[in-house]
Amino acid sequence: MTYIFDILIIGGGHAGVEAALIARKMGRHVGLVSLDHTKTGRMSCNPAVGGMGKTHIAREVDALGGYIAEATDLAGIQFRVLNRKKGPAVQATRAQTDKDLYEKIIQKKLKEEDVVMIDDEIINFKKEKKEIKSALSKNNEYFAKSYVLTTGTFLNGSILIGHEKNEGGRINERKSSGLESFFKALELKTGRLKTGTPPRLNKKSVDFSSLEEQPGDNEKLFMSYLCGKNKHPKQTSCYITYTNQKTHKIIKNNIKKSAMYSGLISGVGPRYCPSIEDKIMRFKDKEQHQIFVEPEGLQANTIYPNGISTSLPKEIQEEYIRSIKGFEKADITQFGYAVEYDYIDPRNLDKTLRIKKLKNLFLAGQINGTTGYEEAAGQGIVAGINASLLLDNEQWIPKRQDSYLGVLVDDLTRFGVSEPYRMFTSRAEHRLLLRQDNADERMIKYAKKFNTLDPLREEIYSKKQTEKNKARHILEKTKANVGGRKITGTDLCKRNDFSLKDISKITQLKGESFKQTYFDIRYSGYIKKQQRELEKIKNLEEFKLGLIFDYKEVIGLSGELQEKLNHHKPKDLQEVTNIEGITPAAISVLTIHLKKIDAIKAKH
Amino acid sequence: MVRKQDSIYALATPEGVSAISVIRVTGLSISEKFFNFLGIERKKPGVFLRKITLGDFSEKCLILYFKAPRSYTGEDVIEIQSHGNMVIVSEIFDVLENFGFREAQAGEFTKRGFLNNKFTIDEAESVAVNVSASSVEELRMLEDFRLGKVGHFFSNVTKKIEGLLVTIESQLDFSDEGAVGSISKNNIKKEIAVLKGDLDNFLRKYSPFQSEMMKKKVVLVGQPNVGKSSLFNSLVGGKVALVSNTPGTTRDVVRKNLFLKGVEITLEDTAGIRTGQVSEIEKMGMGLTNESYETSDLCLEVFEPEQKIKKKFKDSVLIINKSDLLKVHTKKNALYVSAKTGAGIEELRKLIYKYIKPDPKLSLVTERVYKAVVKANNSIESVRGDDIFEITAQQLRDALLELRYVYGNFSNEKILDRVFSKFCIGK
Repeated sequence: MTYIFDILIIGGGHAGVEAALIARKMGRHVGLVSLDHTKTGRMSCNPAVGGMGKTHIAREVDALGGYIAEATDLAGIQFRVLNRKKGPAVQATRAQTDKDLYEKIIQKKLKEEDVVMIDDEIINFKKEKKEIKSALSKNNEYFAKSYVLTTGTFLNGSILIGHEKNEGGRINERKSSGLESFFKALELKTGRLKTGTPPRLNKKSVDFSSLEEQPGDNEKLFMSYLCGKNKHPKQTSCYITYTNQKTHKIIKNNIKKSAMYSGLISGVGPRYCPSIEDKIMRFKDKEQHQIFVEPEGLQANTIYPNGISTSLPKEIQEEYIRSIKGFEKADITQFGYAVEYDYIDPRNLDKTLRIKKLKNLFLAGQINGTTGYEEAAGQGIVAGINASLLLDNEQWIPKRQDSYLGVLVDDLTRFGVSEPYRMFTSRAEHRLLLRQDNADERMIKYAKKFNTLDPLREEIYSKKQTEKNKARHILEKTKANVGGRKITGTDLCKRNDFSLKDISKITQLKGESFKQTYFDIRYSGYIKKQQRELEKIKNLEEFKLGLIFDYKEVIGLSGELQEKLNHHKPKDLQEVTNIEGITPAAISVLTIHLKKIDAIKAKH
Repeated sequence: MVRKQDSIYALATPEGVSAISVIRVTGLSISEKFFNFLGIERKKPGVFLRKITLGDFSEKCLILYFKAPRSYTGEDVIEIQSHGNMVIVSEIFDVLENFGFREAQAGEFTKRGFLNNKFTIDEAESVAVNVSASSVEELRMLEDFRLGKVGHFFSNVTKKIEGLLVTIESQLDFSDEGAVGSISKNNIKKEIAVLKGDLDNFLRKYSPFQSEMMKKKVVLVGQPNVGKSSLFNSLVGGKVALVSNTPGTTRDVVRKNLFLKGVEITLEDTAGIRTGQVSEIEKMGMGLTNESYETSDLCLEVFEPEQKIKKKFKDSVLIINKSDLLKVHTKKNALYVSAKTGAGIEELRKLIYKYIKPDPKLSLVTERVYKAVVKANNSIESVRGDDIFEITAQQLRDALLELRYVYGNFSNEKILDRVFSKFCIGK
């Protein structure tokens, strides 16, 4: 059968969903092909959305008109604010979600928005020169103007438990095949990564009475800017337990049986999410490791013990699980496993996430070497927007200085990855500027441009701006007597000896919009300094490197740097400073070389 | 990593006639034929006396061979010491060109050494400074810089800042992990204080080096015909300034550089100052004298015995010339000298040195390095440590950014690396 769409999305994970929904919002006719549409939007890892850096992305996606934050609000069964005692630039709302509910909500939304869902497996693309003409499955052909591929860990995926190795991208699911040879023929650089999950436990077999309870924050919290529009289901608690010496002994004694340590796995796993084997072997002096006991849902019979992912054999998993407090009689409903998969080196992509070698194929999500639902959703929306814009011969590159989406895309396409890439706030140079509370302010101009701004979001936004302007006005008008001098409320916000509470008392201002105004002012000095830094950087941007075709001709650069520069082909000196291993000496060598070129040009 | 590139040569000693000339070559692919030509072996570094054939004649040379990577550039380095005769030197150059060597650009040997990790950027910079340093005194002052002590300081300071950032960042990005412990405001404050102390000490100890700053200017002034030009010639040791009995012989300012105990000074002889009927050209000369005086570090006001001794220039030092005409030296605050007999000239040199000798405690770094520290210090200064921590982190990052110009790039990735190796992060 033949299908014709504007945009074809391949893969129904968090990247594919976001790409499909935003393309619909932009008025495109969208098809979504996945192996099994009932698994669309599945949370195959822990049932939670948000975290430092991750929430920031989710909020930007939301402000652009994406859906991850709304779905989280609708499926969230516990909400907390991380770093509540610190400043807003490093605060993040995190939600535990009901896994089943989450995917139902996503699937419902896709249906409502008329995304055409098809169960099929794409095995090849037909292309003419640099343009994809159609996507092919065994029986069908799909024509579209642009394509977004989001096949996650399904590329050459294998599942490992102890000495068992099975092909597949997720447990009990087929692996997608055929596309490997397509990528091979394109001669794209690929790499191999690894990730893992813990065993899931039967809720009824866990003794919660002996565990530490961790309730949600006692406050209505929302992931989306739409706040109360999306009602939370019933809220619940998480629990905390710990590994112990006995657990560690069991694991140490059986370490050779782990797929990670038997040499079965060659892919690189994330350092910030090590398996329990790694934690015990690498941090030998730690007597215990924390485990977050997270419910997979309100009705669900399973819990997700976060912090003990593993690739040990089944019987060892059973043994170490039962050595843990509260899990003494726990039954494993699904064993932990490691997934090893191929990813496409994202340096093959431009900053719209399009494969440089092709005109109309975009990649998003784990296939680009990232991890996390939010990172996937973020790429999904960038790829979806660009796939749509491509039809009008336009593009959008999110910038490092105005969003975490920009940091994400820039990091990926410029540096590639050496482990599954996860966002952290420390990756952003402009952290004080990129806050979860002002993602709407940073993104609104783009949402307007793409026509993806809901009337409700716009209404909420302008209401907030009116309140903030009022707060700013009152702060400017307020004069406080400090040590015999009259000081404006605005200046009080900049001082260390006056807290938010003090100023609230003086000005009678309160609420979220006052708090945001306060921090806008509080951070403003530093933000200005950063902006000056940015301007300085612009100077380096003015040194265009387009005339250097081969860096081997630049005398004075080491061979290693010549190769790196030939690989990166930086546009200007600013991009050079971001390449790892670049020394100040190399920059000056390049500057001199550029001057030489200029001199030669002037002669002719 | 030692990289491969072409072989280069340069004359290491000044051009012109001298006792010996040193020609250096460096490269990683110096041909076997060249080793054979010199009569040495690639495998055996050392010092050799060899007769080498240059066109129609031969020359006995001392050959020093440093094998890679144990050499100045990190490549194979050969020094050829010949007689200091430019004919011989240019013959050797011809030979080198024939063997495929190319003449080095200025600073290329040092650059190669730097690129091959033989020294850090500040050491490399110090070499450049060494070459431009114009006196023994300057070299002494730049010693810390030359010996890499300054580089050591930077690596220490950046390590400290990075360490602090690791502590703070781990708290910001991973506070929900349980593994990172809690932040201690007191510790942060303490460490910030130590950092401030380090940077303050640096700024107190070092001054920025500008190659012109060390040169001192000494000017000779006085009425016409008191013998300023004769004194000038005695001090510089040669007939530089024109001398005659006609008053007003010197019109232009005559300059000569000389070294006094390793300090370079510019000595200036000026037109005599007098009142009454003077020609236009002499007037212009006197104008120049005043300019010269204004910009000098030391003014020597010269008189002759018959004159009424009354200072015309503020802060000048009194010098009475033609002391050979006198039996007794009555003026206590003046130095009696005789350009004619040389009496008192040595004392005059000592007197000049006394006035212009540099502060013995002064240590120098390049201006670029100094400015970077000033800026980093400004960032650290504003850290309160009891502030919202993301602001502290921002200020520490700013400080590292300032220092990147002297100590290489800092990257977010580097901080994350350290967080991951220090803490067991991960749910």
